[in-house]
Amino acid sequence: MIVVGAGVIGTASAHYLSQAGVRVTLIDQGDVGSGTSSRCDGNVLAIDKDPGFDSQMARVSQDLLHELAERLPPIEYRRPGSYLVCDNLDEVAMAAEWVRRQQEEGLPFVFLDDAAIHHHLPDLADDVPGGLFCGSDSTLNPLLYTAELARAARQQGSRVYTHAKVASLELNHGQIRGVRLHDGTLIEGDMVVAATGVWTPDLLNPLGLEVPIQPRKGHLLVSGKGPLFGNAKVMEFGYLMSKFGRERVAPADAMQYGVALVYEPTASHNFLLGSSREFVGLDTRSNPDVVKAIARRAMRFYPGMQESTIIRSYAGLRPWTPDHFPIVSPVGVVPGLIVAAGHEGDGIGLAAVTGRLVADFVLGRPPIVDPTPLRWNRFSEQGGALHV
Amino acid sequence: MSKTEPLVVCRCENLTWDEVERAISELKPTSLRQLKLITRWGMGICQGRVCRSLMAMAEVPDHAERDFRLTVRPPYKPIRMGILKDAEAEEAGEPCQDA
Ligand SMILES: Cc1cc2nc3c(=O)[nH]c(=O)nc-3n(C[C@H](O)[C@H](O)[C@H](O)COP(=O)(O)OP(=O)(O)OC[C@H]3O[C@@H](n4cnc5c(N)ncnc54)[C@H](O)[C@@H]3O)c2cc1C
Ligand code: FES
Repeated sequence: MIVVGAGVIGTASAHYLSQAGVRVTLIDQGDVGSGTSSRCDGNVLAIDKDPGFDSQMARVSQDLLHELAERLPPIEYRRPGSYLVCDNLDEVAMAAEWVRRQQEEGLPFVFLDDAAIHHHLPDLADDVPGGLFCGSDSTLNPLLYTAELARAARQQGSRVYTHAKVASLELNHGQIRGVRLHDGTLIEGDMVVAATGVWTPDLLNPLGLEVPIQPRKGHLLVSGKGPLFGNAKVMEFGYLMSKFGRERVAPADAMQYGVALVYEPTASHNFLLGSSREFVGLDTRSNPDVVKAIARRAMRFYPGMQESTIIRSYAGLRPWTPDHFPIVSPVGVVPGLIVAAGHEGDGIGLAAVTGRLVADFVLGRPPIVDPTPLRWNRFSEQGGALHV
Repeated sequence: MSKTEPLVVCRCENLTWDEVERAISELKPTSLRQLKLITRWGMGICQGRVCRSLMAMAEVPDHAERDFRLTVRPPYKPIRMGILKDAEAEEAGEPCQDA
């Protein structure tokens, strides 16, 4: 069978399939990991997931990754947990509520009041009034993860074609029979997984299949080597406020570019700062105004960063869907076609559970998580869009 | 070149030629960009100005044209973060509400 797209989702799918004895041909238009999976952070988070299906799926993926990390060569995997920090007292009240709901689901969350947050994160600005901690969150190097998954698949008998763009999906009596490459070559296979991230609509639209995936751009800043501001990742609670029907309060430049603090120390003794959220097409160039807004937001929480050096910035395209869940689903109307795309800002974290689920579909095994909320046609079902 | 002295090809990232060769044989990168992401060559404070020409000798199958100008990205050269704060801090610092 064929997997189109060698990002983290396609390589994880190829890995779980080939591990189960299925021969996979993995195809990418660029290098392995040349899409969004090399222009992102490596956070594997449950901390920002809605209690219920969302957080359970994230936890299953964290556990699968924990096993994977023991089998794969080093991918800079660590499990230091992660923090959310509050900007103001309104957010502190919601953070306490968030922790209560997560604890009810049995997740390892802890609320941190004013004194506790500064004890945990001594570099934070004095006026940060509280926050919370999630103990199961982990981190890794996303490009290494993708490259090692591809290598593992190759070692288990899969073939990897790079710099080969798939021009079209080929059907026979309405059923998948392979893919046609840009140079005209036909690669045969009776099943195809479309793991093509933000490019998925380009592949599926010609078959009359609508998937509402859109590129949501995000910038990251890279610091020089130098003093770190703690070893765990820290994000701001503010961007969860909409989950409570509240408005986020932040400076104008942060609001304009959807900037919220993400601080991620890396294994290379530097740190990454994020991030922004914008719908501006497929352009991955860095915008200096966004870079500035991210740096300013970081210094609001870490005044000491004024002395840090920024050496580079880059941007990637999150594959966004309207309900923020990915599409991991067989496409009933085209037998043989499976879509695994639309993971927005969680593809690294959800790669393990996604790859496992794709393998479950192909092998006819009971699915590791309930796939109903992830079905491809939920957006066009009546009233189904936001109530999965 | 002595066989015992490791040849450091990227000084900023303290990366040796042996490590580069190992990465190439194990992970089979298909471009210099992918090799960079795996080994971190060119990702140090000099942004590859020092190591670029050496790394151009790395044997990776090249599908793209062999062009060693790295993409230039803001802030273009290392800057102190504090510089970004001072300027328009007041106007941009006004709180406002999400629409
Ligand atoms: C700034 C930023 C920060 C992020 N931080 C995190 C984080 O901390 N944690 C997390 O979990 N997620 C994070 N993400 C999200 C994560 O990066 C994505 O969800 C994930 O990389 C998507 O993986 P993918 O395999 O679906 O897509 P991609 O990596 O884009 O892979 C799709 C592949 O398909 C190939 N392709 C497309 N069309 C064709 C075709 N026709 N023929 C052949 N090949 C084709 C492309 O070349 C590409 O390699 C972040 C994203 C951004 C932008
Ligand atoms: S010597 Fe390689 S980045 Fe500076």
